Amino acid sequence: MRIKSIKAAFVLFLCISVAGGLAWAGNKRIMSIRAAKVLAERAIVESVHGLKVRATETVEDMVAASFVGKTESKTSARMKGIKYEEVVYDPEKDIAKVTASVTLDTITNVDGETLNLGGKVFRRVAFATSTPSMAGPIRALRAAELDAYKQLIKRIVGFQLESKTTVENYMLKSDVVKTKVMATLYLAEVTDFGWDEAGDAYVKMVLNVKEIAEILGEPIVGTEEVIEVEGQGAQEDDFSTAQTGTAKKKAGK
Amino acid sequence: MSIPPGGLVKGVVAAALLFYALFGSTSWAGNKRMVEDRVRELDEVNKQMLQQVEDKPKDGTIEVKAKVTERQGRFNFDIYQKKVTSKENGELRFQDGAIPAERRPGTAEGRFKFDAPQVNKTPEQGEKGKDEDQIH
Repeated sequence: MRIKSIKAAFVLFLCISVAGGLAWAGNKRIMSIRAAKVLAERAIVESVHGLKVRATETVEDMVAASFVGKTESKTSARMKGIKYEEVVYDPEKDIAKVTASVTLDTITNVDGETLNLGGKVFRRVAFATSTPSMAGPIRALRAAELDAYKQLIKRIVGFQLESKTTVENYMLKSDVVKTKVMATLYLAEVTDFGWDEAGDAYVKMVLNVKEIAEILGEPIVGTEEVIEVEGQGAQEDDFSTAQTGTAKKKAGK
Repeated sequence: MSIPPGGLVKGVVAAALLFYALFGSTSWAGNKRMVEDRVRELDEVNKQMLQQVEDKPKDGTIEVKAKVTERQGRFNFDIYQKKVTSKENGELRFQDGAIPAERRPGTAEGRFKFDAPQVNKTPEQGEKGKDEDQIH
């Protein structure tokens, strides 16, 4: 009787093992890793070839509720020789991390200029998931990346500011402030990235102006040797939530 | 009634953990703080630019467009359009109204090319007219 029970338990264990194994198998892992590889390739292209960034911001009457900020980026280039140095997959969260690198002697940048890079190595990291509920931190990181690009461009080429202010009896009646920027950026390097304890992402980006000047073979006038910025990105839209809450309260009155 | 020291510590830790679980994770996260910081920064830049406008009216409207660059933490304003409308006497004053053609872009455009001046037009000048709201 006892032996029978042991045998039955063993068979049951085998069945669970086989069934379980089949249930775990699938394309999720492969898809997440593939997506991370594509994103790492894009990051490399953005760093080396460069990208176009367009950003606008509007705020009315200095009230945060009226703020609208939009940043867009675009890049396209043919590049070969990208290597995947490290591929890590977290099956629990279904998040893949890929570190890609490329060594280049010359490159044609986003502005069509050919740069002599002298075998410089570029390295970027990207994350991806095929589970939408896990995408929050990754989306926040991309938002932080775009913010960093925008900040670098603002530091390099500046931005356009438009202001319309109306005063009445020395009192401010209305105020509209807009900023616009559109420019190309290349050879920006990510020095650090991560998430703070609240889950908001940060990306530290550097533009080594001195080194780029050497690559370009042109002198640099009136700027710092290294420009460093820190971009921010949130995974929770508590700003819109706050606006909706305020609107509902007003409607309820 | 006395509370044993160990119990007090445990109570404080438990209360702190409960507070963090309820409010901590949500009150710090999100884009609200980032937007508020950015609005403050924009307000500061706008104030600095308006300080450069002379003859501000008691009643009226000031419209200014400028190219802003930052060097060593200081903003430099290159005002290329300034329009001051005063209600007091219906006067309309245009200052620095003559804007050179090359300084009328819809956006601050440029690329970093290291010569003097640093800011250059993008080679995609032809794209500008197509659709200003899209990146081509």
